[in-house]
Amino acid sequence: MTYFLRNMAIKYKLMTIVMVACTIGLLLAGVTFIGWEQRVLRSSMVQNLSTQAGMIADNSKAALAFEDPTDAEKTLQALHVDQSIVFGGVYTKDNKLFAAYYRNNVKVEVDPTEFQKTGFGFKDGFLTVSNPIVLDKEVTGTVCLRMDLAPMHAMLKRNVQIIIIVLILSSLAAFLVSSRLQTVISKPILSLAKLAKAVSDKKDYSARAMKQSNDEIGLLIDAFNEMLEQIQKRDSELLDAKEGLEIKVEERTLEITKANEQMVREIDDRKKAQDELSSLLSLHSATLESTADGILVVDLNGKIVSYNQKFLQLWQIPTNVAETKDDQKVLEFVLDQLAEPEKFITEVKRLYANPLAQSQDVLEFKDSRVYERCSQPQRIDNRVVGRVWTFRDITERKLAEQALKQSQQMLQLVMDNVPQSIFWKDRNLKYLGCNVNFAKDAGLAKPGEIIGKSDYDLAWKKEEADAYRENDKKVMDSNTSQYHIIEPQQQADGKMAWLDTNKVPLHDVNGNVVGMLGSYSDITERKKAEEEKDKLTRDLEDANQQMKNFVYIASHDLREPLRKISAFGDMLQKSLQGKLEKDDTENLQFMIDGAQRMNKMIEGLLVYSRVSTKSQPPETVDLNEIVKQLQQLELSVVLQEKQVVLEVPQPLPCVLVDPVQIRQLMQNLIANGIKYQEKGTIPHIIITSKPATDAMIRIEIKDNGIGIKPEYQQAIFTMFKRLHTRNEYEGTGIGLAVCKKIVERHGGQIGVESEFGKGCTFWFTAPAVKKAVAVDVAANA
Amino acid sequence: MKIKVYILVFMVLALFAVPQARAADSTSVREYQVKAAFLYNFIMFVDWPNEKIGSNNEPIVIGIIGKDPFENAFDPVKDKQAKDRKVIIKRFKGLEELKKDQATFNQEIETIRKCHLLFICRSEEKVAKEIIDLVKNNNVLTVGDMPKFLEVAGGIINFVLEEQKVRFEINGTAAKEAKLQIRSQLLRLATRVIGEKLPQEAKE
Repeated sequence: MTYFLRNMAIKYKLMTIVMVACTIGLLLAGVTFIGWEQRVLRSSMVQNLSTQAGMIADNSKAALAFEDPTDAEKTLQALHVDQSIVFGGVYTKDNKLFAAYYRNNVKVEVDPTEFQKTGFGFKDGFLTVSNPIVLDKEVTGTVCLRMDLAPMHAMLKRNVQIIIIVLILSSLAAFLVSSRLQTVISKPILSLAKLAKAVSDKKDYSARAMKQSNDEIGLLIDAFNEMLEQIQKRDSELLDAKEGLEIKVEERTLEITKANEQMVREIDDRKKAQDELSSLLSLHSATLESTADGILVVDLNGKIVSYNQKFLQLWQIPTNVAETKDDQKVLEFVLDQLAEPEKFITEVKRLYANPLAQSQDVLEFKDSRVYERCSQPQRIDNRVVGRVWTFRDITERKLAEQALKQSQQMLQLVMDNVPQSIFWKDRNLKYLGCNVNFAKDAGLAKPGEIIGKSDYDLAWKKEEADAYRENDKKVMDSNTSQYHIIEPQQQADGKMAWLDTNKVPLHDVNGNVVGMLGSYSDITERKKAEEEKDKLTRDLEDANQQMKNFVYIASHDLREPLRKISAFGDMLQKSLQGKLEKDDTENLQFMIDGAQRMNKMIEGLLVYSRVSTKSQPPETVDLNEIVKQLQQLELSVVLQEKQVVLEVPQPLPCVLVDPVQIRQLMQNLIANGIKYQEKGTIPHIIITSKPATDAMIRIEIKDNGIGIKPEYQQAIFTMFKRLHTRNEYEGTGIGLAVCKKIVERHGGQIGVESEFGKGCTFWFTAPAVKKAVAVDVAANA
Repeated sequence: MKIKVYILVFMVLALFAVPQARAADSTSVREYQVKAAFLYNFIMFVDWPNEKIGSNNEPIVIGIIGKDPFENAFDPVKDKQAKDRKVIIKRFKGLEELKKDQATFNQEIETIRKCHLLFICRSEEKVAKEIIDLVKNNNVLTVGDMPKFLEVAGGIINFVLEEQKVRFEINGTAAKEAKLQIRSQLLRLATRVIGEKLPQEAKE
């Protein structure tokens, strides 16, 4: 305020002071008036309202005593006379609303307890008054009245308006009066000021002011005139000195202008250089950030100069740590992660000791990461200023290398431990590799030596090598594998080996044939064994055939002389009957018997040989039918003679056999059972069947005969083997041999189970009829 | 655990609390409590002649004649004072019964005549007029509780029930005869005022 006043013209200063003083005085008077007015108004309102409340309290005490709210409401209704009363209520002793009056039915909630102490209260623009209802000195309730203060406020507002109008009018009056009166003071001062301005403008120090009064302003004019006089004197002296100075200033100004121009040029040059540098720098930093390597630049003392984001990522250094450029903190981070921090430190120290040295090594981490570290000196104009470190994460490469190495080792191990020999060649038939076995065959100490060699450089003969190469070429040209090539090989140790070789073409990723792989096993032993077997089989077949022929011919040819002996013997016996000595008769009888027996034996042999020579293809044969025919034909006589009991408890199955031979077999076995009996025993034969393994049927023929001791049970099936003398039981010793042969021809087996003296069971197996039999067997079971 | 205990306690309390609350709210008990309070309040709105009211120390007597229906209804107002005096209740047998004992009859009647307010019970309906005639010139405010109490028996105030609420009617003539000044506030509250030209407009 005072600051504002200070720069004003004196005329306005005076007026402002008068006006401000006047206004403040009026304002204070107005505020005091309104404050007072409000107080008076309020207290008179409280008094008025309290009086009304008291009247209503008195009028409603009977209503309250006799619990007649209607009457109390009527009393309250009188309040409608006063527009400003908005609510009147009568409350019971326990402050429940008993009767109420609302202006314009606008409901109001009033809590009488709020006002009971003070008797009244101003709140929310309302005046609320409470008055106790006293009946016979006892408070029986409360009356509450509420008055709207809006009319009072309106009145106050009007007062304020009046005061403001008064204020404006009086300010106007003050302005008019002060603007007149201020000239008394301001006029001489203004004329002095005008003079001073004229003096300073025109530099005319000869002018003088007129004194008008004898107050402080008069003194001021005198002092001013005195001052002008002195200035006039000084002014002339100054003018002289000034001329000399001006010349000097001009010279100086010229010099400075020149220097300035020079500087502007230099600044331009420098700016250009800076622009180039900054574009270079941005290129540099973009390059740094785009590389996959982590890069760290340090100065000669190992302080961090620069780094890229990849460096922070690789070493997991937080940006805030890196930004400190504290190499010790960064180094701590780095060392923590390494498997061998000492080695790292040693290398760093070595390089810092030799600023010119370069290095490249591999860092291994605790968590099995692997980084490649390169370090190079940083040069500026052939001067080493620091060192650039680059780091690259080669973990995956390392892992891949390791995995490859392992799988190669595994492959090598497998190759060297399979019994086969393995080799592979390129398209020019040069060897690319082989396993240990092959190297040994080829006469090499190690598989590695094979690389680059051809077949002619190895142990085998030239013609063998030619054959191999021709084959290999075929495999590669036709792009088809070849299996089981049986071929000879002259091996390094002089062995002539037979090989079973497989050859497959090798492909590159595009499917082009780039070579072939071969593997072979040495089958020399097998081959030899096969050859021997073949030879033996051939010999055996020859011998067998010869023997068959011999037996057949022999039996046929032998029978002719025998028949003669037998026939003439018979004739001799008839003709010599009664003429010979007793001994001679006996001898002749022996001779005839012998001839007959021999005839039987030869017949047996014939049968035996026929088994192999005169066989028919197998067909389905019903065994029941066979047994039936045997009973009726071949065996009918003997069965009747010995009163044999032949029992087939279950129907027998069909078998797939030579019908003639099976009849022979069954006949022999049944006859056997009948023959070997204690004298006087009735033979009892039981024929049963059951399924056996390999789609065979097992037939069992049980008798109640003399049985066979265990030690003979195998021998009885050999030709001419007899357990008894001719006198005990007749027989040629061929029957069971024939049986065995028949069974074996059909792929079956034959045997006997017996306990000596308790009969025996002969059994054999024969092929079952494929489907039909299976059903039969199921039905039989 | 705690909550269960609280619930149990609450249930037990509820068992005791409920029947008591019902008994207290019974309408007839409430009705006679109101009537008892009204009797007290009548004292405050009726002025007796000075000779009847006596000196400052004398109590105001309320007499009840006949079969008392109030029971404990006076308990809430027992120690209350009216017009700076004690209020005492005196109970009398029915008139027929009093007549049986000729010896004490006159003495009893005298006591009744000294009452300031006499409440004539419903049991005395047939003899109400007789009782009122007995106390006629003794400034007794006779209060009844029966129909036609004002017109037939000549009583001063009679209780009536209007919409389940206890109200009363006043016989102005009888009051004047008994030299009792009934204040206009009380008159205004009466459902009906007979005799006397009274401010009827107050009822509108």
